[in-house]
Amino acid sequence: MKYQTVVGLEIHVELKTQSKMFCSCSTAFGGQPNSQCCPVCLGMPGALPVINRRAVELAIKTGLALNCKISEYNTMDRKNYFYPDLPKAYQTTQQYHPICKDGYLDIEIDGKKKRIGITRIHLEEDAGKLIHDTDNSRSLIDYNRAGVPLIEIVTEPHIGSSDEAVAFLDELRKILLYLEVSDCKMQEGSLRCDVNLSIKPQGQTKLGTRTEMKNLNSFRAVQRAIKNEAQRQKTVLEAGGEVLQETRRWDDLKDESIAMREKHEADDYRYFQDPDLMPFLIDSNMIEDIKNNMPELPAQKRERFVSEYGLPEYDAGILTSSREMADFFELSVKLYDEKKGAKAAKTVSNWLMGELMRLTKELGVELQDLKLSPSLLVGLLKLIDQGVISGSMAKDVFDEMCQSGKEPDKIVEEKGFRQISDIDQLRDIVREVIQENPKSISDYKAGKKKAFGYLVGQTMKKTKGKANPQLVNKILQDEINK
Amino acid sequence: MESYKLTVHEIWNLVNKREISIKELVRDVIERIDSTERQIGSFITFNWDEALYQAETLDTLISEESDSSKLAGIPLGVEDNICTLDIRTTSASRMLENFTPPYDASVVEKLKQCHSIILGKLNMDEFGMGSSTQNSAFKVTKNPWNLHKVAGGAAGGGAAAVAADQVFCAIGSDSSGCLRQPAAFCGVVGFKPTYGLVSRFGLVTSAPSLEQVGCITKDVTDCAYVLEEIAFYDSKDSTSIKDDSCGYLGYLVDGIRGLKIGIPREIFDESWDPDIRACIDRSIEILKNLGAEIIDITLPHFKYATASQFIIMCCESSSNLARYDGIKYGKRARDVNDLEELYCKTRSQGFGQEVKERIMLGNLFLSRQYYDSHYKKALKIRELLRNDFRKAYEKCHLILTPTSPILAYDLSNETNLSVTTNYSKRYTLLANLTGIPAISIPCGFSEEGLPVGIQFMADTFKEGTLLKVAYTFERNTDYHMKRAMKLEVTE
Amino acid sequence: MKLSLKDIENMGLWSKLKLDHQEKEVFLDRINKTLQKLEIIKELATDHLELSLDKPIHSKALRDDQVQPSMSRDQALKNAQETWDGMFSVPSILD
Repeated sequence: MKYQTVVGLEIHVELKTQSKMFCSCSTAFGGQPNSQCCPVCLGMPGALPVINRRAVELAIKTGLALNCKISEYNTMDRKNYFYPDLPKAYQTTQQYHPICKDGYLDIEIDGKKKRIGITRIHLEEDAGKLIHDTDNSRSLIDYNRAGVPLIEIVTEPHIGSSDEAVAFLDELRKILLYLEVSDCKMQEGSLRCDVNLSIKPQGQTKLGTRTEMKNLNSFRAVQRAIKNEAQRQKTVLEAGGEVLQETRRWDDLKDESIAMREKHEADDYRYFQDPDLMPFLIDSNMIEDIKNNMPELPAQKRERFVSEYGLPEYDAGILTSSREMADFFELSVKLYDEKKGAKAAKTVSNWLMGELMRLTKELGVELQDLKLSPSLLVGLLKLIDQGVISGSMAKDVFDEMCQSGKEPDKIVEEKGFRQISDIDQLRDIVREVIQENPKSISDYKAGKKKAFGYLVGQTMKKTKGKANPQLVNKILQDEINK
Repeated sequence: MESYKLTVHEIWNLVNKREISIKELVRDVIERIDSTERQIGSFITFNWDEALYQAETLDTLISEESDSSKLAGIPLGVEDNICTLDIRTTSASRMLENFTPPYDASVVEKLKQCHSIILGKLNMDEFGMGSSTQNSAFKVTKNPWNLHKVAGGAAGGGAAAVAADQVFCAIGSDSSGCLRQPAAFCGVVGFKPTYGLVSRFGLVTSAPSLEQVGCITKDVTDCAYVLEEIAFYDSKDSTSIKDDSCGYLGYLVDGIRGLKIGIPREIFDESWDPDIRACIDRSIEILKNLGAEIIDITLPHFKYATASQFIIMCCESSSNLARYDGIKYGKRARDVNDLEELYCKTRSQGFGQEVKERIMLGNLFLSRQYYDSHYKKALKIRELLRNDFRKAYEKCHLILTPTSPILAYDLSNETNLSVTTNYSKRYTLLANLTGIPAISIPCGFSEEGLPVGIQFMADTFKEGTLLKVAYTFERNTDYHMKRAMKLEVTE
Repeated sequence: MKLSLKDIENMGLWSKLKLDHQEKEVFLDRINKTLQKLEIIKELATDHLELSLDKPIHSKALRDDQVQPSMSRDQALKNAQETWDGMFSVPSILD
């Protein structure tokens, strides 16, 4: 039988605030354990929470970008359960009146658009971190992360494959980065994703029993886990078995998931509205303010890059993969050509997609880690246009420039990269080459075009690559045809 | 000099006239505690060394300050569920027997700014659950008027300490009448402000939506003095409310002509101790003679209030007391093999029976099966009751009831059910459910000499009206002048 | 609606209380009596009433996102019975 995979995602995103959700402790990553704690985030007797307004704003921003309705009336509720990473033994979250509802995000899969529904986004607080000291059979707790603001984004079960899930996550991550809502570092846990998955016979409307998968630490893990779990459920059903409603833990090394526990009858989080926190109101002024300060989102930018700069869709996609890259591109084009012509745009695009991507990949860094600026890049492009350096020289200058941040003409000067464009000087060298290679000349005259290239190469070699190649071509032609 | 017998406002006058020094005062009071505490048992922890040290410098400090606080140099007690930096704060529970807060509650911070002197931490029912202070994990507080009777509760330690002249006032909390009922039992003034008027930051609370910090004092003037200092907006408490209507001292005027006082039919139709009935009837006559107009009102949902308050208190407690897990502070069970055992043993050993039962019930009421029928229903009743009060206040300025339908009862190993122990607080818990301010003041004595309290309730933020009527009543009676004589006889 | 021992067990699970058989029986009895007393609320029909929403505060009144100094680690840990290397400690929770 053919089965259809049905996936819904629950994505936890740590918000990029300075202070925690309910207290003024720092949210900085990597501090000494338990050095960023106070009576509130340690759940000390008598301590009371106060909501961070910035966290509310970031949640609204996300909701607007995901086409959600923003709730005017908001409550914070308690989800009661015991776990050592949860200092109060309840998580303060939004069960009854989530901040955003009923949105969607369009993704592109195999060139086709697909709309994934967003059920809700709610505000909540993160838990502490557990470190397992297996040698001494104990677990240790660091509460620095406890109380860091989170949003949980819950999708409708509209995702049909692992590729769709990854496409969704990729687009979502881009948006969150554009909005500066989160730094979305999966390895640091600031973006976490749980997968709810069920399968059903093709065409059937009723959903099957679903499992929930946790501990997915990369997009790749999400992809592998979905494929693996769909197959597992299929095997179970085909063997006449029954899929159990359970939580499973993905093991990336073993490339498989392990059942953690079945849903229990006694599982009951006993939600109720937190009496320590007043409900809060989000008025239309606040929403308007945030709307007015929304940056252009990746999808809009992509379309604009195609229409405004005449770029191919592929280029537009890559250049808008981050806000930094897109901004860099636009600034460079503007500096390079005031009229922002398609040719200039394509030249800049080629450099960013070619040399820049190569270098960042080689060094394992991001654009913003390099000392490259739009004005440096454009300075380099102008040196090429003026014939001061050749394209291949420019690549060396580019690498140097990215790492030292020096002006390109300075680098050219220092390294003696300046191209030889003096015609008399070049003619002398070309004549030398012709004299030293009579056989190539006769070959060329006999119709072997390849010999010409060899002669150019010899000229370049004599000048240690500094000869202006266009000029060398021209002079060589002249001299041979004399 | 028996300066411990004085009131806060009397001390203030004497200090201003340099007729008494803070140093003397603190010594006197500590001596008084020393000679009475064995019988009463109002304290859990003493803070004498620090108090004496503080007193050394205060006399010069106060004389130098031009506008020192009315509470400057006043030795007082703080209920043991209010966090005090570096002073053990137990909530009268084994669970927090060794808990020393690394911070001050906002209200304590304020007391320190006022240069008040904290003499120690006062006994109470464990986590505020109880009505007699017999439910403390450490000791039973006895009623200074009769050592065989309960002091009331949960803040029995505070009421007994004020009544026995051990402290000039007590700062505590009230979630069902925990300040007013023991104040009535011990013949002193108990006051619960409007919800949000006093910061709860640092209050070790079980029922956040019901509980409010307030005070127990020797008379109404002192009550206004204390309120003047402890009522302030606190950004650390999200339920704190900005209220500009302070200046409570201005309400200490004798005169209530034309004031309308409501008598709720449902409460007056109930059966009370006959001595209480007599005291209340006489009080109403006094108020009439002073020019107040007494009118009948009705609170149709009164009969459901006790159940509603109980359910809400259980639910909030089940969640608020979940943090006591043995990991971060407080008791931790020994010899455990795994996490589950750590949790269960710690909590089973750390909590008393009453607390356990309420936690279990709270968890039941919040569970899917009971949420609508109990928790949500309790909230609806609370809302209906608020409407009852709103309507009542359209007809009257204040509502009068006895503080409790019963007198201080015999000490016993009572195995009373939680709901029935609340019988003594069925009139006080109304103010907690609805968030309104209420005061209990002495209004007479029973035949066997036990104090009787009268309760006034006003609409939210009408503390002034409450103080005015209470002050006027007090000026025209002398019940508040009587002291717990029995105690001194036994010396 | 009377509770059973099974209900008491569930309540113990939620509450993280260890109850031996005798305690369960005691609680069953006490709690059933308490529930009996609460039956009074059933007299009142409230199903037709919608709980009105609590009065909200304006989001302007929420806290500014500003960092203030945390407690020292010593302060954070001083009330804990078991710590190791600046962290709180519990029995191993890896199966």
